[in-house]
Amino acid sequence: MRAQGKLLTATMNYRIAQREFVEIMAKQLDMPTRTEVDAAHKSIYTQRRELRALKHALAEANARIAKLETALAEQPVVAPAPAEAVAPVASDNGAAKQAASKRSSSKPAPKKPSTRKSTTGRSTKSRTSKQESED
Amino acid sequence: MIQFPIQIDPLQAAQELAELNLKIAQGVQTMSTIRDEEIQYGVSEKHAVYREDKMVLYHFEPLVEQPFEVPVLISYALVNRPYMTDLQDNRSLVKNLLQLGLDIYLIDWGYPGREDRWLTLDDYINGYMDAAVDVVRARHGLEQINLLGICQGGSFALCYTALNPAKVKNLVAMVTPVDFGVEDGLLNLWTGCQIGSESVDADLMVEALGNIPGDFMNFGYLMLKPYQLNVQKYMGLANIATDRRRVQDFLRMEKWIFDSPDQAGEAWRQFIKDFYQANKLITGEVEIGGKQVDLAAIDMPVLNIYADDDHLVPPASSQALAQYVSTDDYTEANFPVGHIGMYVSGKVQRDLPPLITDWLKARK
Repeated sequence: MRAQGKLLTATMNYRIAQREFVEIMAKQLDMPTRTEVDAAHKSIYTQRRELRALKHALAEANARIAKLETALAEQPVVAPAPAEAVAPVASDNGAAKQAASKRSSSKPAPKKPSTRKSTTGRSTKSRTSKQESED
Repeated sequence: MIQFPIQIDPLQAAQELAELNLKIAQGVQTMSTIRDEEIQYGVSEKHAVYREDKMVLYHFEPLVEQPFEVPVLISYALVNRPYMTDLQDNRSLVKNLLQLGLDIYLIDWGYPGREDRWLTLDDYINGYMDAAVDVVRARHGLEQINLLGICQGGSFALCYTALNPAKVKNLVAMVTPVDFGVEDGLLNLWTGCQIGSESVDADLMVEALGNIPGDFMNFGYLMLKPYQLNVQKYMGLANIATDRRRVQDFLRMEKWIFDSPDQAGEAWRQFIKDFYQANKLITGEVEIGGKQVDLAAIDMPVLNIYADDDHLVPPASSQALAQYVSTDDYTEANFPVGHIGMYVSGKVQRDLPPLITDWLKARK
């Protein structure tokens, strides 16, 4: 196994030396080298990781917002002000009911949580919240 | 008079040679009419539900009206293609599990290119695998799903589960290496479980090659059983050469064996050094994304399945799992086949799918 390991090591060292030689030539000819391409790939890779981390952070933030919005929507409706609760006179009963109905419907509807169509990892909580609000 | 130790009857030898030549001629005839399109794999209908870089998460179309409510996510190895789990109609673990009512997802890691040379195990496990788990959880509105890891994908599943026990309901490990220090396996020895970098200098190889070529990996696997895999197998082909269907099966398997993706350099480096050479998985010293992997965090039910004649993952390597997980619900099952026999043996495909299904359904 040690002999096999030495052969493998020698082969790899040869390959590295060969690359170094080729890169000297490539630089003279103003051609990109493997080392430069690797560096560019590393830069892209680092940005891919950052992008993934940002997507995760965004998904978590959205999930928290959705949870908060659901909690707000589930809070009991505040009782109407006493002045509005005064019973209308008998002759104007129908109009008053309509007005009351209108007031009731004009209350801002609970805002739907922002739903993300992207297929990035969405937490189960956010999906549950979405289903609850849609129900 | 001293007799020659091997008695050869010239007439019989000539007859056997003539028969062999006839078989080879017939085999050439058969193979010359088989087209690449006939050697297809993947029999179960599936569709991609999530993609990230080259990773694709597939969902298999359930084969029963109401599949089992907790889906199973299959994590396969990086070193071969995952369609081995759904190779052909009569050799498909996936199809058999679907028929028994499971809902199956599969991670396809893809073919890393040179631009993926910097991918680490953190990217595979905390990145792609975690994203796949979250997608499955979200699609089913579940906090936890079942995870089925195969071979190296099983080691990944162990790491993932140890880091995220709250997301995994039940863990199934199939032919999964756990104790990489087991010296029964030639692969472990060659990769350096005894003499470390003197056997394989992973740093130097990644520096020289970037990604580790799939062909290099394959050559290593073939040389673990050089006669059986390079000579005997092809001599056996002569005996089935007139049977078109069996030749197709043979070629399908060959296609899978030689369809080996390159290995992303950094991930391979860490897997060789930390798992094979330092055996850190069982000592709790593997670090994935800055977090230590402690197998004792695996406290959910575990089903550990291994192959008795596995020359890639020695049974003792898989069995070691029992010592390191903290679950009270640990089950072991073994089959008298080799590593690949787990997917292609008719007997295993008769017994293994019900075993997995019953075990999972009993733990819902």
